[in-house]
Amino acid sequence: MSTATATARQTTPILKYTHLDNRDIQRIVVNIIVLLIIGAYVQLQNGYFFTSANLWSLFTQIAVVAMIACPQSLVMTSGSIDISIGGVVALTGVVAGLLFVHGWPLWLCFVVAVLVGALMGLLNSALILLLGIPSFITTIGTLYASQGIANILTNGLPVSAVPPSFSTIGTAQFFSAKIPVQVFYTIGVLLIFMGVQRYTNLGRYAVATGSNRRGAFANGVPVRRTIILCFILCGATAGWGGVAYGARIGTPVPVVDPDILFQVIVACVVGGTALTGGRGSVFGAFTGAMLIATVNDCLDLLGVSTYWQYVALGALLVVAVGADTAVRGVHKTAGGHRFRFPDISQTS
Amino acid sequence: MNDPSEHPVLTDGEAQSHVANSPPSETNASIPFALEARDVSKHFGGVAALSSANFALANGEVHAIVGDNGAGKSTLLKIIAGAHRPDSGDILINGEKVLIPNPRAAQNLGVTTVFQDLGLVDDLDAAANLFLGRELYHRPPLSWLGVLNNKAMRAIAKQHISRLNVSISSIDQLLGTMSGGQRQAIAVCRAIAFGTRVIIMDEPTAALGVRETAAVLDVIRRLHDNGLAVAMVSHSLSDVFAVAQRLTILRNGRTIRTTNVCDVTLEEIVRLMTAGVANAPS
Repeated sequence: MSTATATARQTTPILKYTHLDNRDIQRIVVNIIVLLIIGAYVQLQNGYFFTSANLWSLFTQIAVVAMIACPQSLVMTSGSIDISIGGVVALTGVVAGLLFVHGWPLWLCFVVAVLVGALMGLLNSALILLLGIPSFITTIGTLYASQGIANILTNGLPVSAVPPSFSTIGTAQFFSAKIPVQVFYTIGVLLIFMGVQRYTNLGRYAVATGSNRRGAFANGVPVRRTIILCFILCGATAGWGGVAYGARIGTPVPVVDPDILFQVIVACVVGGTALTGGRGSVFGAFTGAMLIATVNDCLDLLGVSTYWQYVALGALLVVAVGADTAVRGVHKTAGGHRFRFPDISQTS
Repeated sequence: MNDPSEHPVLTDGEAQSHVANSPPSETNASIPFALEARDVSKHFGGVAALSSANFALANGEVHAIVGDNGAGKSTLLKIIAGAHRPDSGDILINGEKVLIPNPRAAQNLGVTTVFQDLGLVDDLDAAANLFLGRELYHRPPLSWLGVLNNKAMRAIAKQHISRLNVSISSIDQLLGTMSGGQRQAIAVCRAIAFGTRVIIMDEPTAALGVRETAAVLDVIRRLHDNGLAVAMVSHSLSDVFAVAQRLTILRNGRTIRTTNVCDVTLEEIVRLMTAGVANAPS
């Protein structure tokens, strides 16, 4: 337009169009490439990875994690973390199961579960804002509380005598390709939160709140409302995930599955979300979840024991975060700014 | 524009009598000051940070506030910005007394302060920072969902940034990847993007390199060219001589001199700041 663009560094159109000079997007691309390489390797080994049966089962296994990772990355972007999701998944699964046993219609059980999840999110954010306790501690408290309530509701036992029709919202399949309903849940949640992050004020305010809370507040950003909304959305999605998970198992259990809780956080971090706030990508968190699922699935297909899968998950987390920190640390000494990949369009 | 009866300002003997050695102002007597602080005092506990300080910013001028450490520069700035309430004294905008209880009120009155820490968000790009807290939305019903009109915001941000001739590589560049001078310029863009008439800058060139300083001074000149009034607190007298038309010297919480920059020498300013008198003891 004028001097501002005249002095602008020229970027090759493909990089500009795909935003490949953005390091969050580079992270996502790396995730997808690693995922495909692992998959291709296993495909060559036993020819089973790229089959619809395997891919749908992989997707179903990770659905609850991938769903909750989307709003969790928003919460982490805003500078908080929601540990209570594990408890909310257990609580809402149990609530939906109990209500269905009592004869409530399936859709209403689903709605109530989502509302219970949202309420837990509201409780989390209220405690954080009113008492000023760090979210990490607050949500550990509500994690235990919600697991306790789930146990009280069921006397510590799995919800018994759930009619088999309850499972339909967890195991239904659609079309001739037999696409599991969990795929639709995951894609639906993913699209909702990608939209929220990219196109709404909440997505922008989450970044502002997590990056510079005081500055954002001074500039008129509703910091408190942002935190409350992020937690409500995270809780509601955990409620949705709780029903989907409980229905897939058939009998909701009042026990926190530590795999769900930690895999959600690992997915976010592997997807480029900063634990310190300010940076995060919903789609990145989704690719992180898919990467976890692929690693687990491939180790299964190769006949590696489950215990080694935990080692692999741990290694994945440490490598992903370690690479990020190392790269940023190196650059900090060079000039104090964020790391940027070399501009390959400048090569002479 | 205004009713002449509303203008008690420059000709008002009371207002001027407190400004020691005030030279006859170049401004037309019928035009009130864009911003004026009269007899402003502020105590913190037993410490008098300001005692009857006066400051008058004319329309369209760049006015520097100088003084040694502890002279009361920051306190005066914070009172004008609405961060502190004065114990006594008045703030006038265009000749009318105003109350500035908080920074938002100052902005609504057309006075924006660019503090040293800038209040910018490193993880957002230039356009997002320009509109932070005042985003543009799509028309309803999309606006009810909080859907932002990114296209419009980017277009307007581009205009403002090119108006100040800020060189950034792209409107999508994150603030965290920008240099100190670029960030300062974005903070100024943010102020003028919302119809501000008066910009107060707190040490705009502190901690900047030579080239960065030159860029920020260039931004201040452009603000001046665009007809805005700029008040800058500065430790750097060379910057003051480079861009300011007038300067006010504070010492121990009092205004000891308001003068045209071309009427004083560097040595006189230093002596006024440190000893309170212009002439060297003979």
